[in-house]
Amino acid sequence: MAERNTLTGQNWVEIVQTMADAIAAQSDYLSSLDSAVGDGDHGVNLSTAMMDAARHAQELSAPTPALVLSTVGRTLINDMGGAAGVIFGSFFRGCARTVRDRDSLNVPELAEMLAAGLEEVKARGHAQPGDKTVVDALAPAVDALAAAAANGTPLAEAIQKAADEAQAGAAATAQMVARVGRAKFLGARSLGHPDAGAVSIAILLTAWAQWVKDKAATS
Amino acid sequence: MAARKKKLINNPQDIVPEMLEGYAAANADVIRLTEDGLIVRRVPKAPGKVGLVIGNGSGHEPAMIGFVGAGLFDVNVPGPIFTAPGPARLLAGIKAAERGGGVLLCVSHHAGDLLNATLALEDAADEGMDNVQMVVLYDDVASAPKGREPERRGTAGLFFVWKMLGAFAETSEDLAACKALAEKVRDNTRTLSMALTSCTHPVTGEVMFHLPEDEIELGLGVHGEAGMQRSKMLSANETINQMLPPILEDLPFRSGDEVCVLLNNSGSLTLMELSILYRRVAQILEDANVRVYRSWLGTYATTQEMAGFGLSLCRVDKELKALYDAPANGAFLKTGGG
Repeated sequence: MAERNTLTGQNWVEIVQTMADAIAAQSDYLSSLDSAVGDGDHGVNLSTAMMDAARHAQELSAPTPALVLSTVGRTLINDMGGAAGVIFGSFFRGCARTVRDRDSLNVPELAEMLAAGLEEVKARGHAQPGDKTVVDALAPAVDALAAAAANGTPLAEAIQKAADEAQAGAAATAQMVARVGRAKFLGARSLGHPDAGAVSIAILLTAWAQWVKDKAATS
Repeated sequence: MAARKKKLINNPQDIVPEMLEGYAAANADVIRLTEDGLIVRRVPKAPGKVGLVIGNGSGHEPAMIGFVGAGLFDVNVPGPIFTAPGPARLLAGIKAAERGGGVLLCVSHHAGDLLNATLALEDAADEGMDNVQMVVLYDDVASAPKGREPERRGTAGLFFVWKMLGAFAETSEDLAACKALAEKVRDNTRTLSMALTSCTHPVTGEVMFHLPEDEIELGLGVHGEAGMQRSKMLSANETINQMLPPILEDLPFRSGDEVCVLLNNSGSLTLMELSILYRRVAQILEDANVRVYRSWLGTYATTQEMAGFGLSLCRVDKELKALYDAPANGAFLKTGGG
């Protein structure tokens, strides 16, 4: 069997389920991060919405990558609610935008996809790096994937690098003071806890990397 | 993890739908729960008038389910607990409120409410509804300094907007005029809030934020977001002495102004405490020669069982006084007028 170097729509259906399972497994941890600065329900809300999104993706009769990603985006925006629904939903909808006509995505296309997701999040949330938001996990992941694409890095390694950078970026938010969203009212009291949204992005990308690693061979 | 705090609920995931079902059944003369989970008036307002919609996270009852009815909102779109409803549900609310005079979507300023309302307005425009606008409302002095009012968050003082805008839109066919009236009330309203205790998130069963036994929080938001400062426990008079001057200075309210006052119970404060607090408010206002037109002490917007209150002042002129006194028949808020 050849090594997998692209991701199809059907692959994305499975990736989204893996992401939903990973968020569910960390739901209490995410909620505890949220309770330090917010109302303590982020893990529950994102977990429920991702499970719904995974189910909707599985119901697609002819899933393309863009269709799966936009289905997830729409589900999160409409059913999750709150700022997080718009932000996480916009991420997936943005990801769908650059890959509309593709049946499968290689590393350079995935890099473009992730960059478009980041742009959509920044446009909707008006957040910049350093504001203690999802952007702080997403931006380094986008850079890592772009570098991997430029260097011809194989798929599994490329996604792993993006996930590692997202983890590092999420961890670094513990040292940041929130400047947007509900947490901004806490000022310096937001120091010491990583942002629940940034950690969620790291979990999503790590789940993605895990799926690619586990299914490295094309089936 | 500590044991769940006591709440009389069934399955935590069913809290919002079961609450809506029960509340609508108990107030069936005034409101109705639609199949898609909107609270709407039992009898729609007259054709051609401007429709009023508000979406909000649940958990703040009687806000906003209790503010639907004649002289108030046409439609409320309740979201999950402390979570703004998504754009598809807001759009459904906008459509349900359209009576031919356009629709004003009211947004109590929080990140989630504003993001979702913005998307809902884009979706409404995409569907060819060209007479829909939103108005972003805020009143909390603690959440941004003077001069940066649009960054402030919406809290209990928006009660004045609901009451006065509701009365205005009951007879208005002019969407722009409704929006201008909402902005006028907003721009004359200021609030500061405080809490003695935290409260429990009804879904997770966890304490929302941690407040030491002997401390109070001044200037916090409606989800326990931090405000100006924490301090050691104060008496009722000391509390008002700290809270009222920053409100007066912010607008500023001046000698000779007439105001409506709201002391809103955030959850488990007693009318005894509210009355003792109000006594001091009235003393300070009298000393400042600020005349009180009407005062309201009660439970209008809550954060579960939090012990605390919001103190709001709204400067009123002849127009706003008449709107304030106009009758309202909401599921919760009922005023006779006059």
